[in-house]
Amino acid sequence: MMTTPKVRVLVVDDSAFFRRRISEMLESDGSIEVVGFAGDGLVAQREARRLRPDVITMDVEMPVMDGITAVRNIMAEIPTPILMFSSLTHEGARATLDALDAGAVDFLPKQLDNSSDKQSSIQALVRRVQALGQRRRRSTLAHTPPVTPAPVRRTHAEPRRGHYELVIIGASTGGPMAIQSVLSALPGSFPLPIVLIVHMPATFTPAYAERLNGQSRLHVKEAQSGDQMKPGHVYLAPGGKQMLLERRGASVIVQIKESAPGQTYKPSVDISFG
Amino acid sequence: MAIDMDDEILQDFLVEAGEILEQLNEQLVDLEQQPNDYDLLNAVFRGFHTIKGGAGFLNIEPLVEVCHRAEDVFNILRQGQRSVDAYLMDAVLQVLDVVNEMFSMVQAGEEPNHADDELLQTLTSLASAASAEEPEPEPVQEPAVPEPAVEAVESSAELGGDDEITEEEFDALLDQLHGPGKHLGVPAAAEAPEVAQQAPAESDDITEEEVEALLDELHGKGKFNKPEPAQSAVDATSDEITEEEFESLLDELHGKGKFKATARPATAAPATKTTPPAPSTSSQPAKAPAAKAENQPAAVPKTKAAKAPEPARAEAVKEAKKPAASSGETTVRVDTARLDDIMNMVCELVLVRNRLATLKAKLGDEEVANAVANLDVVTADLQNSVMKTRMQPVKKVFGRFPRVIRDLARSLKKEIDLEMHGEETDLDKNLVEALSDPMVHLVRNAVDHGIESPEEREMAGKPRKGKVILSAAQEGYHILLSIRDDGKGMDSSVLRRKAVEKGMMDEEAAARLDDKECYNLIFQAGFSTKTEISDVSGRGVGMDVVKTRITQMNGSVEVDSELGKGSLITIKLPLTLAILPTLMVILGSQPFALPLASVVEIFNLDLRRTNVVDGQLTILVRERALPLFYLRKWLVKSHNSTVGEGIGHVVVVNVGGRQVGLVVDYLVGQEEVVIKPLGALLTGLDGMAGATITGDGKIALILDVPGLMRKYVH
Repeated sequence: MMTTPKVRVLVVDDSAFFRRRISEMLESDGSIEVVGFAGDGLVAQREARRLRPDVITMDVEMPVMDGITAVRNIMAEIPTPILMFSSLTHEGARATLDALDAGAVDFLPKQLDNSSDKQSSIQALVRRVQALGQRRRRSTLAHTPPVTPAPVRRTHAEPRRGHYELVIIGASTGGPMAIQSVLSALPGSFPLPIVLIVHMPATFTPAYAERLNGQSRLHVKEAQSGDQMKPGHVYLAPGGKQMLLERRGASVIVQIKESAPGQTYKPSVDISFG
Repeated sequence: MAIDMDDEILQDFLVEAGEILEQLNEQLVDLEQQPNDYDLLNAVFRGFHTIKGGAGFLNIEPLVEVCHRAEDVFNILRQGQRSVDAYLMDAVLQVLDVVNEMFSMVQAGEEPNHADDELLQTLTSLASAASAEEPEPEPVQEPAVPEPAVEAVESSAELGGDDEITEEEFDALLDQLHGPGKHLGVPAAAEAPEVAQQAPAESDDITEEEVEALLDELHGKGKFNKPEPAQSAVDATSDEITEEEFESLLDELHGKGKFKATARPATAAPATKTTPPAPSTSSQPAKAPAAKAENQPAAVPKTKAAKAPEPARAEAVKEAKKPAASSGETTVRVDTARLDDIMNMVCELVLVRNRLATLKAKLGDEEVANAVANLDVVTADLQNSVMKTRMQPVKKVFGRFPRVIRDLARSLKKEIDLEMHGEETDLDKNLVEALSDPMVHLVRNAVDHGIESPEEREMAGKPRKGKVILSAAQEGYHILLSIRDDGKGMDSSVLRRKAVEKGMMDEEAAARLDDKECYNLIFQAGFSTKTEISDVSGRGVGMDVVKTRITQMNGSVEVDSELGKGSLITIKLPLTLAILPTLMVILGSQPFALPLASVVEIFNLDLRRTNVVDGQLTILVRERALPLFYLRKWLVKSHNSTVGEGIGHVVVVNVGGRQVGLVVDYLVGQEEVVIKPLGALLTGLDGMAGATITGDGKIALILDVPGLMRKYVH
């Protein structure tokens, strides 16, 4: 019986403590093998070149060369799927988005703790790494383009009574950058309101909205309860919550709700669609 | 939550956090000197960030909380939204103290307490950009600052239309008035860094390299030139062999290109424990996974493999080493007790070696002589290597001084630059620990008594800023440490007068002291020239305790000074506590060992050169009169005072800065001896440092020269 080759991972973190923890987590799953470590961006670059790993996990804050620069350099030289670890702060969010800009594929909050959540965070980590590793293996391309999310459009030739027209985009892995390129291509005169539902932690969405707003001719904001939909405006569902839209007369109003227990994805495009 | 001390993960955390805390201690003090150093700000930020991460992983909530806020503060700082001022530094240093305290609690297996709310709030306010508006209402601190400038402050506060000002605002105002940095806010807690320094003492990491070297020594020296670990600025505690280096090593062994994948399982694989070899593709060179020695046996096969040939490869390794900076994976933690055990066994081995060396001379058999010569070399190397595993850089002691000096300078209102040299000099771990307190005392003294206030300095035509220079260097089997200040120096006449006042000697004796002897009076018990007692120094107990401690380590301490120019204190220590190079002498028919460190010179006794001056036998050496004592009279019970007078050798020894001649019957020679403590009944015996077994199986007492002088001369 053929065993599938293991996903080979390079772990980059300036803390030996975390390097060990991350590698323990990854290797707790038999399908992943940690082939190398690096304590700063420069070493990461060298090791990536030498080891040609399937996936790299990357910390942001590091001496000598930070994670973002390392991502940029590695992507330029030897494109490799890079999973960013980021701290759950506003600053962390901004850095993570920078890293995604630089070419990192995905990110995970660096909130590894020993508590009951541990098992699930290990699983999340393992699953992401596996997915990235397999995608790389399947594809003959060195660099898989980010998955382009299919915008769900309900357009009709003519707005009919009782119908309200808007664009909703839902996305997860690879989504943030794809949305960024979609939005920056749209003209300022775009006739419909746009709703974005991107799977992101709560601390990330304000920074993400801020960033999109800067890059797009449209007005992008993090949605708040009571926002009234306007054409040419983009509403980003806040992280950690669920966003619903409510029809009130001719207008549509945003409603933000706490996520019910058991809902893994916050926000979830499924819930917004009802 | 009880903390599980056996937890590997916790131990991992403690090792790393301990190192970071040590670095932070220095970095923070540096930061005050270079408040705009972006890299430094980043490094401090990362330090707190990493500790926070680890603590979060282990659910040590209070630690996470305080580190998190400190991290926020440094994030604001590195983005240039606020700048470092004295008030901020005080708060941050306080954080460091708190974190250190928590760290020691965790280390002791206790759950740390939450940091004090006031501190957390201060941090929160510091973590916002330095703009006018306050992010949240803050408890108003009483601005209890006795400054003449208060009026001005009040008026400007009134202008603001608000009668409540926070300490922070107050500080900012004062800074504006005085220029930043001059205003001394709340004095920082001065005592805390001690805790920090002790922290990582529980267990020591020995690097693989050291273990390897040790094993190499067992296999014979000279075959493997161990490269000196390249010191990296960031982390000095562990060296890693990266895969690449290991590879190049193997290449050297097999000759370039000859090393094929098939060779790998035979050589590399048994040496490595972590990751199995990576599947090598055709484009990749054969590789061996990063070597990691889990324990000694695991390292053995590798050592054998790496043992053979060219000296050139030491360089290759060195070169390959430079880029490696990361830390951690290749170290093993070894209980210091185990290292002590090994050291003890090595000591026993040294004794056996000495014994055999004596027998060899008796037997006169060439083969035996060769074997013993071999054993001699190997034992010496083994001893060295074991010693190396116990070595720690003097940095461990020095690392705390920037903070000590900073705090002292602030509380004494002096301006001081600290320079440190030779921090990488290695010293036995036990010595490093024992050295810490005496050194702190000496440095405090240098700052308190030595360095003058900026005004005094200016009047004396010196730069406002005083300078304290700490240095460490290895000299043969000794370590020399020095503390130099460019302060006011010592006045020998004042010291003489003091000695007489304190009844330590009569005027005549005092007048006979030369300047150097005067300076060394400060090491006498009860001698303190400071008339007022300050909390920094001047209790009159310090210096003699320092001296006693250093003597206990078989070291010596001396002071030299120049009035108006500064003082220099020199400490000389053996590299290790366990093995002592000595000069073996015979008195009567008994062997005695004199610590070689104190021996200055040896010559034959020539009665024509002796004189009795003031009731004291002296001998003239190069036109200097040295007091001369017959050791036999002190130490050999059945001595006949007249027999043997005038026969023998003079050993000149250094005692507290002055030289003394000791007459012995015979000189045996230099011998490295293992110090065995005297039994319980004999402890505290003045003049005896211990006992040892000599090469011919006899027991020799090891003499403590300063102790002897105290007992028989004064």
